[in-house]
Amino acid sequence: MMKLRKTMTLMAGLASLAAANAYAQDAAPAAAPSGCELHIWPAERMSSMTTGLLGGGLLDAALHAGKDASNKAQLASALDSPSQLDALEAMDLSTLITLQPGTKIVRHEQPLERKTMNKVKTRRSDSQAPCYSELIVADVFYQKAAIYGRSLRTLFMLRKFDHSQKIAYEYKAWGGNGLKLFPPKEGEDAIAALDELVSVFKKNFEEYAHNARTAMAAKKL
Amino acid sequence: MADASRASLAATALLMLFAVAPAVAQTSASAGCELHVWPSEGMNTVLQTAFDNLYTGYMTPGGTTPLQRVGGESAPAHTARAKPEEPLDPAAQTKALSAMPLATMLGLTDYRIVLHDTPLDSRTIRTVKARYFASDAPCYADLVVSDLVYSRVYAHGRDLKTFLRFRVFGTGAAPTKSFGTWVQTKLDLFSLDPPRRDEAALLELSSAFAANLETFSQLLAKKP
Repeated sequence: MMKLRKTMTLMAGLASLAAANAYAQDAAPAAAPSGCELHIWPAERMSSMTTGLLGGGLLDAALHAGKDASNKAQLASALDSPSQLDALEAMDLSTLITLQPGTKIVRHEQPLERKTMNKVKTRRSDSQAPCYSELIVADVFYQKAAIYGRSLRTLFMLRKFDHSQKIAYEYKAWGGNGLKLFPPKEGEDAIAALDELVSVFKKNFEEYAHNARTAMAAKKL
Repeated sequence: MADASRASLAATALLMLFAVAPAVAQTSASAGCELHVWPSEGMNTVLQTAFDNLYTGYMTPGGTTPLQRVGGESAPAHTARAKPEEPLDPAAQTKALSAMPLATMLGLTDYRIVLHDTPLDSRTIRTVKARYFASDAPCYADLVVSDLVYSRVYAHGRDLKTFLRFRVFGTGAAPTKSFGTWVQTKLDLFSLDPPRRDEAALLELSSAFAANLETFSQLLAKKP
C-alpha cells in the first residue's frame, strides 16, 4: 500500500512537472543569442460565409447556415492552434518578416481573445526581451461567392516593440488565396481538402509577409 | 544513482506504459491482425447564428462587404474546444466504441480490436503517416475519432458531427487504404444551450455517436 502511495505521489509530481514544462515557454522564454524574440499566437475565430446569387444578406445566410457551420467545424479541425503554429514555424519567419538573425520563436498554444486584439497596446507576454515582436493570427475566414469562387483568407498582425515597450511598428492585413479541394463533398474523402487548408494558410502568410516587407521598406525599418 | 532518481525513472517508465498501453482488447482473433481505435479529446462546439457574418462585418443586411471594411472586433468566435465536463469525453467514447461490432462494421472480421483510452494529439494524427501504434502485427488498421463537434445552426437545428480517419496497413510502412470523412446525425433532445442533459438526451447523444460510426462504415464500404 505504501509503495502504491509513493508511486502515485511520484506520478502526480511528474505530471505536474510535465504540465509546468508545457507552459514554460509562455512563462520564461530563454534568451536567443541575438536577444530577440518573436511570440506567435494562433487564431481563435473561424468564420465561413457562403453566398449564392442573392449576394449575401440574412436570407442567404439562412440558406447556407448548415454548410457554413460544417465549414467552421472543418476549419477548426484542420487549423487548430497547434496546426497554425506548426505551419508558421515551418516557414522561414526570419526572412519572411525581416527578423534579426537568431530570433527565438516563442509559441503560445492558447489563442488571444479576439476582442482584445486591437485594444491591448502593450506586450501580450511577460517577456522583458529588449528586442521583441509579436505575430498574431487574428481571423481565419472561408468565403464562397457566386462570382469569385472559394477562398481562404487569414488576417495577420505583426507588432514590433521598442525598448520602452511601446509599439514601434504594426502591420495588420489579410492574405488570401483560392481553394480547389475545400470544402469536400459530403461523404467523400476529406483528408486532402483539410490538408489544403494548411497549405493555403501558409500561402496566405507568405502573401501577407511580402506586403509587410514592402510596408517596412517604405518606412525604412 | 540516488533512490529518488531511480524511483522517478521507474515512475516515468510506468507513466509511459500508461500512455501507450491500450485500454481494452475487445476480442480475440486468429490471424494476429489488429485494429487500434482511439477516441477524440471530447466534444467541441460550433455555433452558427443568423448574425455571425454581420457581427464580423463580412456582411451587411443587404449583402456582402469588402474585407477592408471589416470592423467586427468584438464578434464572438463561436467555436470552442472540448471542455472536460462535457458528455462524450474520451472515457464515454471508449465505452460506446467497445459496445459496437467495429471489426464487422469496418470489414475486418478477423482483426483483434485494441481500444486506447488516451486520445492522439492532433499533430500526431496530422503528420504521422506510419502506424500510430508500434505494433508488429502483420496486418494492422487504425480508426481515429479525430473530431466530435456539437453544432447548433440558425434555421437548421442541432447535430453531432464526427470526423473519422481510418487506415489499413499490410507489412509495408505506408497504408494500403485510407479514408477520412465527416458524418453527422441530427439531435432533437440533447442541447448545450439551453442545457438539456437528462437521461433521454444523453442516450440520444450516445446513439448519435453510434449512428455516425455506422454511417461512416457504410461510406467506407462503398469505397473501392
